Amino acid sequence: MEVSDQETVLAALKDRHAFSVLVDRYEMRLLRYIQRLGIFDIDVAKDILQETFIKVYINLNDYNRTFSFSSWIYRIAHNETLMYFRRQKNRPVPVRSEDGLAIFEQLHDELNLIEESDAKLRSARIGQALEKLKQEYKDILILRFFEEKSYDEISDILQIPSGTVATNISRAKKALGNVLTQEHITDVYYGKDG
Amino acid sequence: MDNFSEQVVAEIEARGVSPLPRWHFLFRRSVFWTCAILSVLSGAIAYSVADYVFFDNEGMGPTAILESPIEGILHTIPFVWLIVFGLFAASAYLNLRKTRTGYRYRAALAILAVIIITIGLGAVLNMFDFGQTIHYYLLHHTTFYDALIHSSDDIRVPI
Repeated sequence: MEVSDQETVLAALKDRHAFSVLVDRYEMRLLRYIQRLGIFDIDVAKDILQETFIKVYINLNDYNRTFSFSSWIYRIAHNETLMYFRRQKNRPVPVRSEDGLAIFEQLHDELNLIEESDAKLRSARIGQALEKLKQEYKDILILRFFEEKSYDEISDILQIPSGTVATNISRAKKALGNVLTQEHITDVYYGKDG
Repeated sequence: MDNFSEQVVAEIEARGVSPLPRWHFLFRRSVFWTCAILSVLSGAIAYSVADYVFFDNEGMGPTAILESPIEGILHTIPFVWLIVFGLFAASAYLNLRKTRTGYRYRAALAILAVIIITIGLGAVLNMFDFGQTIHYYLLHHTTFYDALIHSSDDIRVPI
């Protein structure tokens, strides 16, 4: 039976080698999340991931067991990634094509997206559209549709009220729809021949 | 990733870091709570003085109101104290946001709650003439206060 995150945290506070259980449990999820936020250089992503885990270890006594450990560690990963962007004064690079495809699949009905015959073209356009969104909209779409976090979890990760999460998701989807309209990927073009 | 967890633990050992003690976080949170509470108290004091100056000030006499109602009211509004009240209410809200669960509350609701609590506390202080005490203390022990506040000593009631 897998030991819970809360129990593993207590064990890690007594023995630092027990911390490796948490690292093993979250490394792939957090690496994918960091990359989705816009870090595609794998070495940089691993550096950020390592710094995230070190920060988690240093702040273990700040973890409140009544909260979800997953939300707490995601918040630290999110903040570390944003700090990297600020230090580098970089803009995040475009979303990966497979993520663009995933967004297309999930939001197809909501945004009335045209079925492109070329899947690669479709996902690339979605990726470009996502890149044009404000960072806060991109962050929330990633957490909701890729990381499949609930509104309460997103609230804890981004440290905003749950009501604001709902509002921002709605705004993000609308903003994405507007960008896609400009990119001619919505039903504005239904009815055209061919 | 092969051995990534071992790499992380090795880095932790190499840097010599260890978990910060619990009291460090308790202290940090208590600072924000203390600042929030002090801000509410200060805002309440500011409101109690503003309340006294506006409602109990002898300058709000019937003659002054009849001669020039708007001017009379404007003269009596203690803008300085209202600004001080606003600043402390804002400070209380910002400190509350830094607490463990403060971010969960919508800004408008949190600010409204801070304002209501501060005004309520100010009204309670005024029941014990706290506003009047502060007002007269500043009036008689400082040189700048008189210039900032139109008190009953200043308002000239036309004959």
